[in-house]
Amino acid sequence: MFTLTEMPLKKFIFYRILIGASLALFFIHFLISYNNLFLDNKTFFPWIILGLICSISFLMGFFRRIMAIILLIILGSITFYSENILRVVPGYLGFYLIFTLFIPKEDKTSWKIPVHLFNVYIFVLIFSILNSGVIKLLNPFWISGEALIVLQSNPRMGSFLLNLNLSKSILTLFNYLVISLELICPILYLFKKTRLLGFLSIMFLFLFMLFLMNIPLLTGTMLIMLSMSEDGYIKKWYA
Amino acid sequence: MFPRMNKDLAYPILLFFIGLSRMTFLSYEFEANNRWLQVLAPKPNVFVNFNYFQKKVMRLTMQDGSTLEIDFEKNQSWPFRDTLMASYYPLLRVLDRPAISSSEEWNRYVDYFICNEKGNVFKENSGIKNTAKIQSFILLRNKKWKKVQEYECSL
Repeated sequence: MFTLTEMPLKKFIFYRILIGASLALFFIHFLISYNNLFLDNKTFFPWIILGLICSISFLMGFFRRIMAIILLIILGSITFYSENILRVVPGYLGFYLIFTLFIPKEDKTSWKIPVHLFNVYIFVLIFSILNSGVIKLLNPFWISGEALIVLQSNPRMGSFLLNLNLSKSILTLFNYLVISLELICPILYLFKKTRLLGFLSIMFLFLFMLFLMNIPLLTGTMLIMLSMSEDGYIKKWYA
Repeated sequence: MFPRMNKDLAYPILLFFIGLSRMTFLSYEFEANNRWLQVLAPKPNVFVNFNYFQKKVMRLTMQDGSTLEIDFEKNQSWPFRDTLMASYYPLLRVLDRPAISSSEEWNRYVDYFICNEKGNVFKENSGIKNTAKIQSFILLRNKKWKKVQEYECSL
């Protein structure tokens, strides 16, 4: 039931570059907002510089697995000692880095990603979306359809909704649409026949989030990681 | 260095990460000691969660005795210079969670961003300066306001 098309070399390299670039952007963001994020504590500065160098090296494929291990340690250290926006995604980036450790060195003759590994990677991502939907069902504001209404009237998120002044009925509709998609997409994704629909729905959901919350670096990275789950639909592009 | 992933190895690893993902979410809101685990497994994040919806007010007392209340639900009373979402996330996080943040952490952030001119995070026209005391209140179910954090700025 749940077997994906093998990942070609070009696809793996393409995503390695994109995710490496996202990691580099996170470290650049840390440098730009350093004082606000670390309260002038200079301890993290060398770690962030090292993280930036390792991200670029990872992006270019130099010592990929060693760089992945160093990046894991840096992400873990920064997240452990400091509250920052990365708290939301380290699991996704960290899991991707672990995933790449098991991938053989790219050589042009016999390279292929172990198919079971790709299955595991995608399944864990899909599960996290389903889990997010289930958790929303436990939240009274999501259940009553008020979550996005509150979000629109609230300045903390800097949501683009603030400027749109959408009616309450539309926001309630979106509220239930988000929950429905998070619950349905993973199930659609499990079956070959409905997988494309599931994939497109997930993409739609995260594109919506890209405009909903003013944190494009974060949602953009999530979008990149989830778009990796496409099951050979754009095969010609990688050929 | 790492083994090739075969079926026997892949699925136990799958179960491990799903379990880890679930576990990190369950403990996410309550304590901070599992942060290393959070780097290893994807966890769902519901931005608009309980802490976000909890009614809260922050009261600033200036050195001249005047007070200002910041209602987190009202756009008009939002004195911060931006959304705080990306560049000031550590501050936003503690302000959003006054009841579950440790006093030490809460004090550290308000001292830096509100008492200290260097970290001033307010809009230029907000008129907030020379803050003497910062208090945070949350609305309880019986509709009473409860003070959960308080910090006096060193003069």
